[in-house]
Amino acid sequence: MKIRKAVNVLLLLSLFGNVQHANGQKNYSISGTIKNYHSGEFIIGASIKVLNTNYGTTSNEYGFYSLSLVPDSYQVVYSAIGKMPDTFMIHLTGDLVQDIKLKESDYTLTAVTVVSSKASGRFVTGSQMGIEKISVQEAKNIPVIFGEKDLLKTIQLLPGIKAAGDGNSGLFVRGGSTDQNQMILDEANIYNAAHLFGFFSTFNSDAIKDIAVYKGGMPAQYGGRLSSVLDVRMNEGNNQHANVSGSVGLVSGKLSIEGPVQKDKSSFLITGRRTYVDFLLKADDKYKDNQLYFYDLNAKLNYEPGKKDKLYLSGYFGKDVLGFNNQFTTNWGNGTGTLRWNHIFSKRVFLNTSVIFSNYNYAFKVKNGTNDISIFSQIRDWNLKQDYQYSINNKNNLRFGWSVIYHIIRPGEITSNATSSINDKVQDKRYSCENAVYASNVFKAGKHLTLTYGSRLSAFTVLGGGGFFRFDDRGNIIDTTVYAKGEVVKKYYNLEPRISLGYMLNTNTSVKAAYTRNAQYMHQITNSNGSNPLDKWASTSNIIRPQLSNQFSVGYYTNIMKSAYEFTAEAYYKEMEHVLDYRNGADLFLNETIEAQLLFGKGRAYGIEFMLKKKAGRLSGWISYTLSKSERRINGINQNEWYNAAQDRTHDLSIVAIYQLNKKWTLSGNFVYYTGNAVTFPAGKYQVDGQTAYYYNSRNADRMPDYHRMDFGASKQLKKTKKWTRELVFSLYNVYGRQNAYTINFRDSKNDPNVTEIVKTSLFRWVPSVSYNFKF
Amino acid sequence: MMNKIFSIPFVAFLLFSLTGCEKVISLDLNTTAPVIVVDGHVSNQAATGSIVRLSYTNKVQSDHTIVPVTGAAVTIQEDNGTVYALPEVSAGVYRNEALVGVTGRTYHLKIVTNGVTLTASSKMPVMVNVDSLVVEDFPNFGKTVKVVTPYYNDPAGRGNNYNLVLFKNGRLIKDVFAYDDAFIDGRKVTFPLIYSRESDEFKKGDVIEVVMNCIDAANYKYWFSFSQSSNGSPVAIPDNPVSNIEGNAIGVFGAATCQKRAVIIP
Repeated sequence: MKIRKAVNVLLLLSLFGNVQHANGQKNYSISGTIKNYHSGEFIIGASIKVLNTNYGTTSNEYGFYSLSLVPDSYQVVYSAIGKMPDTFMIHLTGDLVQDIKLKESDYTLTAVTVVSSKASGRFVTGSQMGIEKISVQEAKNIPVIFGEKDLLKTIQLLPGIKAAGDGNSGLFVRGGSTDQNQMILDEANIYNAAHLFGFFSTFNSDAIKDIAVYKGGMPAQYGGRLSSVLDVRMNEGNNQHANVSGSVGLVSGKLSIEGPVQKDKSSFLITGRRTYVDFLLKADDKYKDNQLYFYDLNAKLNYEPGKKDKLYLSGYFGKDVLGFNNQFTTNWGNGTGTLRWNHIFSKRVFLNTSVIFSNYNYAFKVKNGTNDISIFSQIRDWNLKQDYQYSINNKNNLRFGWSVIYHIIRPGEITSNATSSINDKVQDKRYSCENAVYASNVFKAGKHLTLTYGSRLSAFTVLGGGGFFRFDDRGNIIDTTVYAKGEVVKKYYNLEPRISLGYMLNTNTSVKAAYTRNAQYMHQITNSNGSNPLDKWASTSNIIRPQLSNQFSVGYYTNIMKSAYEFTAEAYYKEMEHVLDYRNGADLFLNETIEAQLLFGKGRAYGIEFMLKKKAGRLSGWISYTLSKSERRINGINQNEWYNAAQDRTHDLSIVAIYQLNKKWTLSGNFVYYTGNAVTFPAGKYQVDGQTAYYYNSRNADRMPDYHRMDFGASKQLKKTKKWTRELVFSLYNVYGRQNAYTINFRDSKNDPNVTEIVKTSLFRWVPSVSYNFKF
Repeated sequence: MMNKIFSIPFVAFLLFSLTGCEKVISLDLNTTAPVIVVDGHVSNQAATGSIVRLSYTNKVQSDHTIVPVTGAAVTIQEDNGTVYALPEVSAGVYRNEALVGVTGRTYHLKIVTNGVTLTASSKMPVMVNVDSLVVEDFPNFGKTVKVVTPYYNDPAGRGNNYNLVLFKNGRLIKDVFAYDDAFIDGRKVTFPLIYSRESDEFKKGDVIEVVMNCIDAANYKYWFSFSQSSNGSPVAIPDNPVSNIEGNAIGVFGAATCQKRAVIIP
């Protein structure tokens, strides 16, 4: 607590400290938008560097940048990953608008030298830490399961980010659980980012531009989850030429159409993906009455009404369908919509206003015998927010804004016919408001020191109507209070300071430190092993308190051999409060008194992450290694002692290599090794009423076997014509066919029912795939 | 019950996709000092009476031989009245056929063994009649299987709990079917009993017996948590079932009304 208080005081002091005094000399701004020369799409995170100075910035989420400098002559370098850098001589005598278009760097042999100077991955400069960035461009050569390019699976190869299971797109970030990751697609929250139980993610890589993962040091504009923010940005569509591109793979087919509506001013993009395993099933008499597929649709429209304004409308819709003989059918999916308006007030003030809608629901239908039952559950958000970016002077860059989210949860609704076995039941809707204001300043304190300080103040209001329960220690209802619609049930406030500093030891090496506090108000209710579409979200209530985390991290960053290599190391310590767990025998399914099934406690996670990346040359790739620990202490579990979180994996190693063989062929390979998850195996067995039962005495004290796997990939550029680009991509997942354990179960032996056998189930051995990509 | 019904498509899908990837392995497991297991029943059936089995937990990697707790003093008191002694009829099995349970009465179990005292109470609930037992086709991913469905009318008003037990040709099917009436209150219930193992699959000519036990809430909690996390293939985080035994033991004591129905798979 003392540390926290001290940090809060420091924060307040520093806010008053230095915004003022940098105004000694008049500053002018260089500002503008950085775009891709070929497609006209803006570039996120492009680097703007003033040579021989400490000044520089990066383009924001909309390609806009603004840099304040005192009058002088400067050499400014604009660079971005996969683009040819551009250098300009600038004599600054007044505010200057400098719009930049960067050309694609040709991936031919001669030009492969420094393709990604400062813009990729981690930054040596600045004070931001705990970030991993990957673009579709970078990820496209890395082999993944089913050949289905998937950024969520590719980022699992980065330090501190772990796969939730074999072939799974779920993530554990720095010892957190999967629901502690905020997944936002064009700012809209995606509540269930999994298709088909997590074997695919909802992010169709053909529609995605890039993804940034914040594992720590989250900037103040983000909030709402404890462990990470995954900021996924959709492509906006080529405003120069119309294109059609697509791919045909083993599992799914994809098609994208993009182009200008009005050249230079507006463009559109529509991308669709659908799996077609079900068509194959239809051909088989045995399976023809079953349904099993998912699809995604991403669409975006943008328009520049004038030099100072830009409008974006983007949407996502995805759905999974699974059914048997029309007797059981279930479907689930997300839908989002985002309307954004960028406005440049002056050359120094950039404003983005967003209206965001997000929806997740599942529906379940049973038509079996006399039963005709439907079940429906939904979570829906309406979000309005504004984000201001103000380049005050050459030393200060201020970002501030606010956000209001209105959550509506329909926890469960059952409708059934007269002859069915169950009653109709509509659970009370849950309404809540999640609000925040934030401000954060990036202060260049000197030639070597950058300081980012700010805070987010979040507020959560639990609203009526409906009944709210109170429970005793054992989870029995004490009483119920009924609130009218709109009536305030409870309010929570949390101050979330975000402080980081970076110090350059020399031009190639820096050290950084950060402190971040996060509050989480929405919680996923699940005690199953995998991703289940029926897992639902519950909002903070009179019983469920906001989850809180404090994270301290330090890092070391260095570029080696003229930036051909980059070595980074980060260490973190994270403490969590009010994390959720479940009572033994919890019944979570459509349970009205779900809060009675929950237990609350603490968590702690710490670790150190190393990454050595080779960024230039024919051979590129990285080695990443994480040593970590993640534990929980929950009253009512494991005799109230600390125990390993399921996702506690001591060692985690990934090696990624991409080799450009020649103009046509690119080869790639991955190797992954990690310690098995912490699990609970029985310590004894017994018989009750003739049933075999297993006795457990310690939570998560055992380990699954270590996991390791190697994958290969190869892509061949087919003959290029002026109009056509075509490519064949091969991959082989799990090259040496290791049978990694997915589950380990105990059961009576089939041959001798009087004996227990331990059964390991593994999922994927040798999954080959091929896909054909085209563009014209 | 509901989550069982609604997890069917997911389970079926996973089974389908996992076919052929199972392997029997050996593991070094932790062991523990033996813990006393209580398996106690008061039945409304005159033929059954009351029976309490006492055993110790055994090593996981052993056969299912029961390690009996012998020489215990076992008594059951009916409400505040008669105390029945359950003499040990065979190693670890304590029985009194004269104690036949009556609906509405509470039974208090007391066990004293090696200086340890264990107690538990259970109230015998109202018996709900099984109207009929029907064989039905049930769709699964890629095939249709035979299942049996007991038909019964859940009495209006919450508080009815069921534990159904399935026998195939006289052999117990090791699956737990424990339901409460949260969703089915007052309805005619026609949910099939879906067993989890392929090897249990019903074939033509199989004799299927269903025993329906009406149980109290604590027994339901026990059997529900058992089905979730104690059967070796847990759907939730593995843990011991929520026991109604007071004292240093695991297991369950229940007063249940039972009825048996049988059907032959056509």
